[in-house]
Amino acid sequence: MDWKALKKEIEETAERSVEICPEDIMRVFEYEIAPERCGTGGLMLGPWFEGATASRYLIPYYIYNIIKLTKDSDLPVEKIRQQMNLMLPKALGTADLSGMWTVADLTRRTMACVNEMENRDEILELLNALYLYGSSINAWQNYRVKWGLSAAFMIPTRKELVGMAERSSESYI
Amino acid sequence: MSKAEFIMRWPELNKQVRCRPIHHNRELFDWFMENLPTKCVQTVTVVAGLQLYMQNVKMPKVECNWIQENQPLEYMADYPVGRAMFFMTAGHVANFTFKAGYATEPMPYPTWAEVVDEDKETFVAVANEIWESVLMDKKTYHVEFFAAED
Repeated sequence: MDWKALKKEIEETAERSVEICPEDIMRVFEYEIAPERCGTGGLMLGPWFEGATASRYLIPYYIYNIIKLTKDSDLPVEKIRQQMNLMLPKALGTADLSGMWTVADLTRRTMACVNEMENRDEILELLNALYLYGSSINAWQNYRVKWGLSAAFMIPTRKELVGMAERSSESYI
Repeated sequence: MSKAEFIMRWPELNKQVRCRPIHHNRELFDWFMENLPTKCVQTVTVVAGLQLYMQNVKMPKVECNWIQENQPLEYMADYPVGRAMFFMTAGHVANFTFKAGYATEPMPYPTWAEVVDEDKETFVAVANEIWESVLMDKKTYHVEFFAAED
């Protein structure tokens, strides 16, 4: 697989996603199209919630952690691969099932490339491209999440929050 | 010639504010300046309180060359409105916020810039408008960053 071609495709997708809301986000968050019938349909937290959680972990959190740890701790290629292959699959599968198809496709092809690559700097270049794209997905999810649902719940006062915190310690006894 | 100041501009609102370095983490401010101009989608943090949230900021020229845990940190609840902090910044991608009101998350972060006092009223008004949009209206806003010229 040509990692440079994939990097270019991801970068172009990321560039577009700064200006225009990505198709994944519109499909899952705006129109709630989830042909796999996954999620908790009929309830408030539907497939869009699963999609948001999974794809947030998939790229912004996990890829961020891999890049940061690789740079901060000077990790070798085999450790980068080990982290990638251990952390990503579950979130990748959930994002895919939730309708985040472009996110899943680009991640899956990135993983395939990294598993064949030997040059650490090139691997980081490819992961950086995916991280930027995933960060855009994260931003648009933040925008499209149905935050208005919170209006259905009472906001605790400071006194109530302190009371809740005090009660929470009892559950660990 | 550029100076130690950048402009944060919201094109859809036709508003902008000036930002300058603070008492610490000047190297983070300089690193950010080296990567300008850049832009991203503008959101708010919501759960952590009222902060403008920049999540997909491309740092095209110089990759992240500092380690968050090694920098001086400040608690979000304690630092003033208008101040910026980095988090989840790595490689060629920056994530950061600008505090715009009540913030509760009990976590310390590397703060590095602040909206100038004269522009804070504009900044808070913009933040409130975007807060309403992210929570209810879902209009799209972008934010641009570019170096101020002498």
